[in-house]
Amino acid sequence: MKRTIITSAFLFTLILNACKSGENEKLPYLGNPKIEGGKEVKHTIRPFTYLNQDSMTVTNDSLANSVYVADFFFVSCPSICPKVARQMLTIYDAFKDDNRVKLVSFTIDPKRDIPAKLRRYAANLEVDTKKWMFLTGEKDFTMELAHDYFVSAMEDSTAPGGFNHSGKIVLIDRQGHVRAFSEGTDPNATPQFIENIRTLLMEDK
Amino acid sequence: MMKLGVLLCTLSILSACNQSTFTQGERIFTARCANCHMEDGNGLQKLIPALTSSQVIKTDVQKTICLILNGVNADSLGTKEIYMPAYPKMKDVELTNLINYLQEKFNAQKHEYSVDDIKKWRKECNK
Repeated sequence: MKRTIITSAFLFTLILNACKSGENEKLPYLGNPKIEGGKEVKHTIRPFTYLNQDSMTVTNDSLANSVYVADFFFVSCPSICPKVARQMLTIYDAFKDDNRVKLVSFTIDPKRDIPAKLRRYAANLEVDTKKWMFLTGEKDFTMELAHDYFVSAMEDSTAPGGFNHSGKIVLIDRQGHVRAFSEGTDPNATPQFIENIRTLLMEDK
Repeated sequence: MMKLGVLLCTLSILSACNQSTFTQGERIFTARCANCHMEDGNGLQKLIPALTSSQVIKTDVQKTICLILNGVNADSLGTKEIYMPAYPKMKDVELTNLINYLQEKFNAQKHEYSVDDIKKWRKECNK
């Protein structure tokens, strides 16, 4: 009897601790902080203004009502983009009914990827563009912006489709900080990334 | 020393025997097709056609060969949405292996074609 009580108490403590660590679990802030005015400032995505697939303006501020998942792509990309898009689609499906999460795909080929083309791309992908938006803007700025997301993107005439870029999928919080990323070409990495999004959402509670 | 040579030779022949008939076709598929059509051939929504349900693969080898060799071009203005790169330099044997792999993987009928069959169809694509 005594042994049973001790075992039960031990298990109870274990469960309590597990709950406690779940509550405190927090994603790290990625990137090097800067010192501004003697204060440490976390790495933050720079302000931006883009056009979406419907030619409507989207800014970093208009995304601040939700956490968002970002990637960089171009419509005529024959290399990694479809694989990354499939993982984005898995994430889209996982949070389809959760308004706190949005998805944003920046094109690195704005010359060809005009809003009308992005609109058709979204339609063929069969996604709701209120949830997953496709943004086009100034090319050089986008290449710089990609660095804020720890994505490398550059024009390269020898690369398939004319651009070289990495397939990272990046999670941004409401304050514009990078909180997690995943290799978009690796389907095995997506479930953990989806868990990371859930962890970030818990911070808001 | 001689015995070791014979052993190595036998082992290399045995390991070659272990390779599937479709090894080269699969390799080409992974390098040239799977990025867009995906490893499982499911494609991507309406954006990239699924090979798993492709009637072209099942019923029209001629068209399949021409699609691989000539691709499907998107124009620079993006009015055509479907784009597929062309592989005009693919060798007859590679093309045969790729077609036979596609048949094995995505066609329940599993037709298998000879290099001569493929050569004959290939000529039709240039007309």
